[in-house]
Amino acid sequence: MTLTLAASGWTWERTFVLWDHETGSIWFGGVGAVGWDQLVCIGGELQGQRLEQIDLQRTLWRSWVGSHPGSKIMRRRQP
Amino acid sequence: MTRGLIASLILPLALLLLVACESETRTVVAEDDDSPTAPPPRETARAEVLGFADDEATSRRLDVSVAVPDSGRGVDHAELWARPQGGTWQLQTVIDSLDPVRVTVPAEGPFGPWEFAAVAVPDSGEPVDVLDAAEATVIIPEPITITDRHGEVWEITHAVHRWGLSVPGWQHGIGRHTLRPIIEPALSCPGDVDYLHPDNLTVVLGVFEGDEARAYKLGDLPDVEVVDDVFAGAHIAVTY
Repeated sequence: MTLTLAASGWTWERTFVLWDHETGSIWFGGVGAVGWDQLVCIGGELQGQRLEQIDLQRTLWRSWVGSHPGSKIMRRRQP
Repeated sequence: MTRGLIASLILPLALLLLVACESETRTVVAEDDDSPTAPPPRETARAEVLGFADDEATSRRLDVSVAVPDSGRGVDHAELWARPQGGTWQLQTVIDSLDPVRVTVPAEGPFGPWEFAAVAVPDSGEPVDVLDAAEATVIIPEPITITDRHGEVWEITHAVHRWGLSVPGWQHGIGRHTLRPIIEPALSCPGDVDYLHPDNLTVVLGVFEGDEARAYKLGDLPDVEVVDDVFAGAHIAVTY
């Protein structure tokens, strides 16, 4: 099963709560016991399952593209 | 949003976990059934509830462990029954596996104490009574729900009890279809006329794998909250 995650329209303490289109389960990351490096299913069919964060960098584009000159970037306006 | 974050997720992990949770189906052959003139003595087939993954239930979905220890003794399948204390037994699920299994059942009914029992059904088809005595009990919590601005009711019992996401912290509730995710977005490549200038100082979230690198402008995320993408052969979700 591949999950399509989306915003649920809810936030909890100013952090977005997500849901998946496939099962309607709700997902959250950033609560103390969960941590910021994963999402946990906090309700619904997949309750208790976790999705781990993959390696990523948060940086300036100039720095990123300097290190990865062939990098693609998401287009702002989607067709 | 006080802290920016990318939670990029390898979704096949969920697949693996799901596969691991599925019950195994198995055909059972009684051990000594090959002699038509001397049917084997039939031992009483047994099944039992071993307990709950979550002994102090935090939701109305329960992971219940069930064992059918007399495998090969003429058990066709097992059944898991439950009742609210003082109520009537209700069949929850049929279990084909003869190994100990964990099944998930939703508790649809009143909150409070619930009793569980498992029954092994012989392959002779003889009817079996549900046990009078429960094998395990658990307190099923009162459902906690919140209603969003579109009138949709969300059950957050587990989120509150297990993860401490207390009710007052839930805000906005603007509806699950209001912020639509971007799915497999169009990408700009080096040489494209709209490719971001290499001196641009915008903040991005970047992922790379081998020779492949991809970036998402942080400023593009708040409108959608999630980008569901495929990167280096894996399904990922970029969120903020």
